[in-house]
Amino acid sequence: MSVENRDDSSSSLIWLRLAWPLLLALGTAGVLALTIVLVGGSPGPAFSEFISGVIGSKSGLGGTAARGSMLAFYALGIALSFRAGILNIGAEGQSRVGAAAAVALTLGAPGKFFVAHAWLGIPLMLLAGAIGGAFWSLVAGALKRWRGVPEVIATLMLNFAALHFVKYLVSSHDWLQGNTNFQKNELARELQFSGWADTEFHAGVFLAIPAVIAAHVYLFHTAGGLRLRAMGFNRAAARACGVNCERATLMIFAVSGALAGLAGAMSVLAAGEISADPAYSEFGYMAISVALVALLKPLWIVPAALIFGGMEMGALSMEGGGANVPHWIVYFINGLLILAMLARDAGARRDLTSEEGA
Amino acid sequence: MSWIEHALGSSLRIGTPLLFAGLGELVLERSGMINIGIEGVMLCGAFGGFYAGWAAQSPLIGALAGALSGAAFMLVFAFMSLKLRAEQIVTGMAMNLIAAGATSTAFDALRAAHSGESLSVPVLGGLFPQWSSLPVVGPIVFDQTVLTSFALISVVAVWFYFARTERGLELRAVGENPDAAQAAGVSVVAARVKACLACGALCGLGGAFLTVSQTSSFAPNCTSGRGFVALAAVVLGRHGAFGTAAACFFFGAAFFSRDAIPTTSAAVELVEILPYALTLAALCWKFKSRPAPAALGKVW
Repeated sequence: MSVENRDDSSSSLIWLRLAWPLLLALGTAGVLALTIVLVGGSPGPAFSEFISGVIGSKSGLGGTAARGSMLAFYALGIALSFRAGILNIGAEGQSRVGAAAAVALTLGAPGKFFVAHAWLGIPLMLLAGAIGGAFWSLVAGALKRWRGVPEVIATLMLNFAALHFVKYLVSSHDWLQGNTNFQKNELARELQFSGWADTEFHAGVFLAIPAVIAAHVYLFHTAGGLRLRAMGFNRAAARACGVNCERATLMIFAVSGALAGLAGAMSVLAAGEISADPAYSEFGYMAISVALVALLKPLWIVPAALIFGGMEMGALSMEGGGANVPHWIVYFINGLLILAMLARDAGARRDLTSEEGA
Repeated sequence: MSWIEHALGSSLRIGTPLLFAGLGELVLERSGMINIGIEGVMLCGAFGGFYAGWAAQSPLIGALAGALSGAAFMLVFAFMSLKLRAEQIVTGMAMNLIAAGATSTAFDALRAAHSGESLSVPVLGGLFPQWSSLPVVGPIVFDQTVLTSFALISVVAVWFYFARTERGLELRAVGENPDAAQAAGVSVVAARVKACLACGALCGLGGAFLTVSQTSSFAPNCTSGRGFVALAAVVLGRHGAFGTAAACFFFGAAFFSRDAIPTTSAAVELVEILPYALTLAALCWKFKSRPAPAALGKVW
């Protein structure tokens, strides 16, 4: 029926499977070059600026890793929920609520305590972020579970509600008034992740690795993961086999929200401030292409997220440099990649003998 | 009285793009499809409308081009969901990204190529400007551009189509039970392609309204989430033409009152939350009393 039902066992598609990453890379580069020519730039210098923006400097590498880890956290949650047949597209909002929850912990008297004991404060802020994200996601989960509200509509609405709510918190001075540790919306120095040689790189990036491994093991090597995937293939059949779909649904909402919220908290710790328009806005949507390009496989999310993080850095460098290519181009490429992945699915589906019902 | 007239008229003006997009999404959803990419379709219409309106120096040609470019962009959705039978939600997401990237890139290129020139569309007039001096209805209904009048007519037209015509009944059947409709001799694919085109044209007009009627120029991401508000309006309006229109007008009024709040005040953001919070509340409150079309979003 949809993105979650992918079966790579079809034998006639082996060539496509092997050639796929190459095809995708060549196609992306081709479309990029064509677009650059169309908007009146020259692809040569633009590409060299793109490359140097990614691997030419420490800040490019650090930014790629930091953005990649952010995308990886989002994409893990998306992969888990898409695998279970739940289209949770609310990473954007869940991450912002997580960021706000992490900052809320630093306000007032507890905040003073946490600044003095950063070894405790930082993990607790990450935990608060995860809880905040899970809570925001569970709102959609509860609406689906008890009121039958489609999760797509609910998560979309919650995204925008979170966006404006956090903007309200950041711009409202009442909220940050109780904050004695830092000026306006900045975090105390002690509570920030230390960067690596003035780049965006931060210690939190390493957290993505255990998360990816845990998701992989859970999804493919535990009974729970099997139940989750069974639910995605056919909910009714899974229920008939004894899977508690209602409980699993809530659990998946909570986990994917927690991953997004954790990433949001990390971004606050890394940037050292909570911002109304963070640098990572729209990443929640871009992570959908990351998850799809990685075929919803946790291990593949690592290279996919790094590539997309690199694309973001490269595009920023193309825009800043003399090549005169707007950074908007990344959105365009991302959208096309999602369509390409959907078309690939359609091709794979045609080869499957069993046609699943709608 | 005059401030009430001003408020109602402004709410209608601000609600017009929502009205177009909401009606477009309504037609699509009644046919059993859901496109969360109407934000992108609006953006496409906004740019297409701006470009043609600027090139031809005619706002009406701009509006027409906006409708056409929206419909053309919706063909991508029709191809993906009807031919390739792809997941509609993800397709819609991709269309948002593509439209945001493509229109902004194209606009930047256009601005670079015509630096120093003014990139603006001439002012669009009203349908019956001489009637705007009428008491009460004059300032509210007739002191608007042609597009707002057309949006109001479209509401009645969409209602009439679904409630009183055979084709409308067929389209609803396709949305409720495509298998039964097909068995009864209705071509599901043809009906849905037509619904896609109608949705694209309406959303495109909604986008074009922003560039040829409200601001007379384009800006990257100028639709700023209106497509998602329109999506909310369809849900809040319980998939009815008048319900959707009422929700759009209400959101228009909410945004009008937001504009009255000084921008330095944080309360602006709370008003922005209103459409989304209300929609969620409406969804909790007896969502099942009037359900969405049964086949909504399902691959057929």
